[in-house]
Amino acid sequence: MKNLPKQMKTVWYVMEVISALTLAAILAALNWLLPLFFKWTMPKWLMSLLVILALLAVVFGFFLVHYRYAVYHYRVNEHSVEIQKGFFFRRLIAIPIDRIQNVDLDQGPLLQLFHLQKVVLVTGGSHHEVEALLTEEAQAFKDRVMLLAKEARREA
Amino acid sequence: MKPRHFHVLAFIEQLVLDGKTLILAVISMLAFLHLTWWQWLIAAFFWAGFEILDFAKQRYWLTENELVLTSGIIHKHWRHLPYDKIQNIHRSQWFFLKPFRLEKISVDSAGHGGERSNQIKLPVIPNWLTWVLEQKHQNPTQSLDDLRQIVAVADEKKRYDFDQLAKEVQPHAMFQSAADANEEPKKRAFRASTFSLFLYAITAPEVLLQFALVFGLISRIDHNGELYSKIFSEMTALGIVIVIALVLAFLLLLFIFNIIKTVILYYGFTVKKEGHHLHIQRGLFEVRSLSLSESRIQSLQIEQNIWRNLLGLATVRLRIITDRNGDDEVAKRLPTLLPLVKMKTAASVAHRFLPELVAPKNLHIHSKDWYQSLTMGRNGLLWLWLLLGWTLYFFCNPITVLLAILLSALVFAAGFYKGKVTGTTTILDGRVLVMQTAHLFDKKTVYVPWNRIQSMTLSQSFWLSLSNQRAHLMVLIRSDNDVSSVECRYLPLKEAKAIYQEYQRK
Repeated sequence: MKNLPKQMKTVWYVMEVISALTLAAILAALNWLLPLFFKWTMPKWLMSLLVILALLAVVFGFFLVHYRYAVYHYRVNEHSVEIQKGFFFRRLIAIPIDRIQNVDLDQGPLLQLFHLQKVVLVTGGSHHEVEALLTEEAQAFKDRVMLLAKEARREA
Repeated sequence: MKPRHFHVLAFIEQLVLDGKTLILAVISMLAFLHLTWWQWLIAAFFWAGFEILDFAKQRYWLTENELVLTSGIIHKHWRHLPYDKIQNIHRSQWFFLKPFRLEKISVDSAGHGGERSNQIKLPVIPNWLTWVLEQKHQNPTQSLDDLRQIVAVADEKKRYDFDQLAKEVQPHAMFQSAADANEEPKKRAFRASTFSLFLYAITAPEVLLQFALVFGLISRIDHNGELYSKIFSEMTALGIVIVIALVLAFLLLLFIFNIIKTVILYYGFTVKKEGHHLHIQRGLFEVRSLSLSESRIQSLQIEQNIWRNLLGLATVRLRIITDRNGDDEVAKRLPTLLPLVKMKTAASVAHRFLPELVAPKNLHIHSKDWYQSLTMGRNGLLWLWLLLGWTLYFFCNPITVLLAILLSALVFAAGFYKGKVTGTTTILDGRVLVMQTAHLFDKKTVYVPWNRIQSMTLSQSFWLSLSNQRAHLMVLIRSDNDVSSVECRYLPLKEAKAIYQEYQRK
């Protein structure tokens, strides 16, 4: 089974930073806006509790990136695509090649920065994702899966 | 065939449906604009004119290869549906349409996307058109002229049993009613008796839900409790016995209403198999039928809720691929194959219709140890006490404590039962996977061929992976125009891995 590109770790760290900043902004906004609009100030103990929880979530998130990367694998063969992911809730997903109807490639701003693309495998009524691959790898993955899927359906 | 307009009754239905959507606009106009009577009349005139023009622009016709539907005033739409793309045909006939031999149909196609791109709706068309569509759907090489000739003969002789007439008029032609000549017709048909529908209705869990909804509504209207206390004080003046009698009478009325509604929905429930097609028909005032190809069936599910389990009864449903059919509340998610049968014979009756999916013998799946039962019972209690703990912290009195104990017993029992019945097996020489699980005492046994499973997931939590003895197995199966998941939790790891590997081999 193959690993995700190393750049994915950096992407996840950046996403954790963005989440941390968002959490901080929400807490600051609560602290500032609540007295302004509702004439009510959050008790110090509640605010401290929320800050501690937010800090724990952020630290935990950063800490987990390494393990998330370590457990994330994928594989393609002529019968199926397999995806293994998750640290606390580990999942091994098998998608038969002939059930795959389409392969989409998505790229948000963060993935664009690191020349990565998310691969979305579309089956009947649902879809599965490979978190991100390098642009060339993603294109090759898509071409291979579509070809295998076409051959599998023809044989069937 | 020349383009035809829909029947005038379709126009009335269009007026009613469009009128319903306009109600909000009309109310807003009433509230904010002060129009005189003649201004209202002009507005109504323009609306009626638009509706007439819209109706006049809707036409349909059949060609040798496809059904064509056009509509639209300024922006014209042309919908083409080749006969070989037809997947399911949903028919609906209200009692007032029957004398005129008219009905509504929705035709599902093998496309992708939302409702608009897949399903064609033909409101109020003659029966013969549906029969011709069904014949072309089941045998696309059938000549349209031959079929229309049979319809002409039917009109002439005033006989509308098209299948029988077809055999008489054109005995050499291959009409689809192609049951095996040697097979008894009884074996490929099932009709639910009214008594079984009555039992089906009284064992349905919806009654309690309706009861809870009604109470919920009452509490919304009377949120200060003033109305309630006034009624209660009046009632206690009359005596507590009368209060109890009134509550029971209310429950009884609700119960009876639900029974009547269910019997009406399922009245005359019939399933027939012709060739590789199933025809399911039901309904008293509105007769609904579904004609579907066996290839659309994704899985079969035998269900037993707690009442049906105690009475030794079961319901059999299908997961099929269909386009959104939002107005059929019964067939919406899981069309019913057999509303109520004896559990002992459920598999054998289902086997008559789907021998490639269900073995004739009933299966007895259960877990081989106590681990699943105890774990699921424990999980239920954990989730319950996350909520109950807070409730008891703020509202601690004998009643809430008693309620907490009762709920805990119920939740543990539900989890225990779920663990007891959860399991998997394979049947029919390993061609079909059977997964059984339960939810709130509602046992579900799902029969799914390997090639209908869209994907399979083997999962373990971090804690499960430490002991590495158990895993959860989940499959995704297409259902309706969506996908549904069936999960068996806490299976022995060996069993779960074996199924996973078997799936990859298939």
